[in-house]
Amino acid sequence: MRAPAARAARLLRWYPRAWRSRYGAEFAELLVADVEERPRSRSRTADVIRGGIVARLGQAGLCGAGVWGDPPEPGPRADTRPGPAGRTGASLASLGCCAAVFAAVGGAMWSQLTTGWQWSPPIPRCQRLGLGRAPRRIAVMGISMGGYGALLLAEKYPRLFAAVAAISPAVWTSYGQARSANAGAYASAAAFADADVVTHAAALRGCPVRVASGYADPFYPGVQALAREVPAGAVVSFGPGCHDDSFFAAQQPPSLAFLAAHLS
Amino acid sequence: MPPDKALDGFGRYAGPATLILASLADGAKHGYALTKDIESFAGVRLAPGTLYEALARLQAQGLIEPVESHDRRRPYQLTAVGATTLRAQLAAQRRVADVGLRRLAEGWGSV
Repeated sequence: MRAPAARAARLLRWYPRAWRSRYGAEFAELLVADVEERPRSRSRTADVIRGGIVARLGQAGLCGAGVWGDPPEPGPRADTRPGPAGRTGASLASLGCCAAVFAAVGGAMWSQLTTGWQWSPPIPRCQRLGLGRAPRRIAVMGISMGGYGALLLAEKYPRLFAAVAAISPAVWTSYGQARSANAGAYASAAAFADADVVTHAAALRGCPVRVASGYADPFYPGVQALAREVPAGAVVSFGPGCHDDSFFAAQQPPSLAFLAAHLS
Repeated sequence: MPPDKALDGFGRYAGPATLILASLADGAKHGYALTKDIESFAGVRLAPGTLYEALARLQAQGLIEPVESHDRRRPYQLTAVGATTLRAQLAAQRRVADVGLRRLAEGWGSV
């Protein structure tokens, strides 16, 4: 077990530099005291990781948690921010190291992802901003539909991401299977084939992959098929569990640790 | 902004924010002291990330402010606006508690 101070320093790295310069010293003191009181706490680790990611997303303008520090000066403020696509691209650039992008699109229609409506504006901009150059500073992770989306993204842009982690990804083994579960899932057999993460798994070469699925998950056969096709070295975690929160929650810490290892 | 609306924007962090303001009502505290005090009076253990997210937002809203300190731990104290906000927030919570408890007593007896 690391000394509390070393443990605190390691946890602090999840936060962006600007946040650390403002709060780092005092937050480290709190972490040291907390670790001394409770040496091991998975919930504390998950909470700090979550806080760090939220701070990065907030700083990047992607969620409301970015305002910190002293109260704003009174008076009118012009909104000079660019539109959504430019904001997302510029925001991803500001995430810095140890950042992860959550592709949490659970519940979306598969066809929406495959036509790229969600991704087409920010991804080309990320590439123009040079985010694909080493050292790669973005990882992608998703759960359920988000897991499928994360894999699809990583296969389409393998050099952009340092690593991809998919928890219980919604992977079908055939167009027929997808259609019988949800008639509108894919526009056509051709659309399915184009977005089939199993047949395109070789595109993940060079992008470390971790996938996890429970034996009782309806998508388990699809993830098994995926596991047979991913490049050697992929981390595959199969175990008891269903397509539910308790399995998702259990897989989050090892998935985040996997991404962190490839981002640092 | 009217005091009883000041914590609305905190969403899921309204809980921790209220606990922090209540803890600071009897004097300035740094992060760990806040954690232990809240644990003792509310039975809630705020994790460090959650605590600091709420502290940062409370400070940005002018409800608390840092206190000069000679060591790395930084205490925070309530501001006047913070005290007014806390009073309004707790008064609103008390009205709910009063209504609920009275209705239980009338309809459910000593459950």
